[in-house]
Amino acid sequence: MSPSCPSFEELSRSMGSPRSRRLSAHLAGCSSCRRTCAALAGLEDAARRLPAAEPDPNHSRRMEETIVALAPPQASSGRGRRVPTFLATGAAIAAGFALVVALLPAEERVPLRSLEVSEGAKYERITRHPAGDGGATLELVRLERGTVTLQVEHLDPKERFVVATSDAEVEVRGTLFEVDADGGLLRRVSVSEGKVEVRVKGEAPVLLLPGDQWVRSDASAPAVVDSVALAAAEDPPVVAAAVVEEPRAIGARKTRRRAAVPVAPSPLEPPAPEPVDVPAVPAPKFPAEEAFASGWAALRDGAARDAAASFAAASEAEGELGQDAAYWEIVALARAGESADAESRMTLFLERHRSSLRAGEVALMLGLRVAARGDRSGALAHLRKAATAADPRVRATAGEALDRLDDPDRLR
Amino acid sequence: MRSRVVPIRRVTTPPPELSDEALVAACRVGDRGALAVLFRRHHAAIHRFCARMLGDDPEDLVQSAFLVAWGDAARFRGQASVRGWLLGIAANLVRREIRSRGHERRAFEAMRTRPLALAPDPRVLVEQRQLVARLSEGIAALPPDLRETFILCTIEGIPGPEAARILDVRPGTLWRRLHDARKRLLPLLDGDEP
Repeated sequence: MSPSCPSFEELSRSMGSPRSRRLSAHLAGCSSCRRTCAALAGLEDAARRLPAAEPDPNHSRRMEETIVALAPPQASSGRGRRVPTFLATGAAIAAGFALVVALLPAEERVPLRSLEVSEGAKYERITRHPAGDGGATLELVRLERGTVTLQVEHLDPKERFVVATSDAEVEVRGTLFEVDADGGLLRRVSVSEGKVEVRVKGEAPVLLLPGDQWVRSDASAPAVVDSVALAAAEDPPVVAAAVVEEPRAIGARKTRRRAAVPVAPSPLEPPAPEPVDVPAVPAPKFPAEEAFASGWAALRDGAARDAAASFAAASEAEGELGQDAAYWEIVALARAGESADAESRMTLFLERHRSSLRAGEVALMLGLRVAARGDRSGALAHLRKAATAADPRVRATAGEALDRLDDPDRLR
Repeated sequence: MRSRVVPIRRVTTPPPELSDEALVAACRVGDRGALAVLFRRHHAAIHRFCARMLGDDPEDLVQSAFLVAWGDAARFRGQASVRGWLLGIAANLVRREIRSRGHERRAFEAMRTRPLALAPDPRVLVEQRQLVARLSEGIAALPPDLRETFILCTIEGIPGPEAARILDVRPGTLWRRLHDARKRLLPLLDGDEP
């Protein structure tokens, strides 16, 4: 390079943008600078061809569903941050356009026909999109306090509609019904049309038919009304429906209310108008989901210890939610610097969720931790498990770690 | 009991032909379907960026990035592309992650187990594989500020002025970082080890 040559910075900055006439003229006569430019171009080319860690499609679908479910309600426009008028106008136009376009195709329908809420009611409405073609759309109304009266169209087999409080779920099968809650607890459910299933934490599910009503007793345990509850307790297989005074009518229908308790017609009562078919219902899951969401919110806010506590609560849930919560508890503990706790949770995870998709990942983390503190034999066991994981990246990383530890089993 | 009738708003997935900017605007008014479409369009790029910055599975960061974008939709001013804006959010999360990982990250680095994502393709020439390995390690060894600049500008192809806005640095700082990164990586093309 001669003193008249442009600096490296000038050559570097010229990459990917039109060169000045002076620079082009210089490059035409300077082999040294041409080599530098060629090397820079080669670097860009090689960097762009680097293999990328592409996301796993299954994980992505699950993540999309999680993000949509966890996204909190947006602040109302009147109370939000100040934004420029032109942006607010543009956003409103774009959003309006989005909604208009979304409304055009008639094939998608809204099962909720009407929602009437009492003064001061606190609720949130959430739509969960299916994770895949076979997923069920979930319409969810979370009720903190007050009364909501809902009219729902007949649901397709892949549609679910649930009203949830912190302690219970009310699942709908196409109906007109009313739900009352206080302090996050379910107080009362009245059904005017259709069928509704009430699932209270720790209680057997209850199917309500038209005219039925479920009322929480004043006693601590959620129960049905007085004598009916006693009768049900004495003779559980028998059923259910004692006539009580109606608190008030719903809509135009004036009827006496019955308090329902679990399943099967009472010998003292006429048969139910429709066959009572109570499927095997999973335990209420929303408290666990709420704990999971709290964990995520805390993790997002950098409160890793709080997140770990919430995930720990959610990890008691059955199925994938429990597994995911246990995994994120580990992540939260690691972020909180609680290495020992994180490690013990990893061990617990591998014991409890041996067949989980995340087991390989957790085995890898644990193996690397154990290896980092010098326990070679302890690390080998975990890394060998990770080396059989379904995720190719976990396998590759575990393989590299095993190579570094000179695993004799891999040399055979 | 006084009551009021709440209008029913359809919450559904908008058609995919909506622009990114329209989707962000829809997110601002609480349309979760728009968030889902944004995720489908851009999560792979965010995933790649985070994976290259951190060298391990960035699933939680990708998820956080979209949730932050949902919360910050009202702040999007259209000065950068939506992809650039999302990459900027991811870059901020990555910086925080790098700061917070502390000893855990150092332990991983001590083991030198950062995944290189090498494709085990037998047809790939040995020299190319070695170059890819050297370059991957070289990028991973760059200081975070140089690494994010190089990945954004060179690999993701974000123009310099937009990258400067995304990273919240002055254009001169961005160029200096990019030049520094290139200077450090160029010798790897000639076979030097990082």
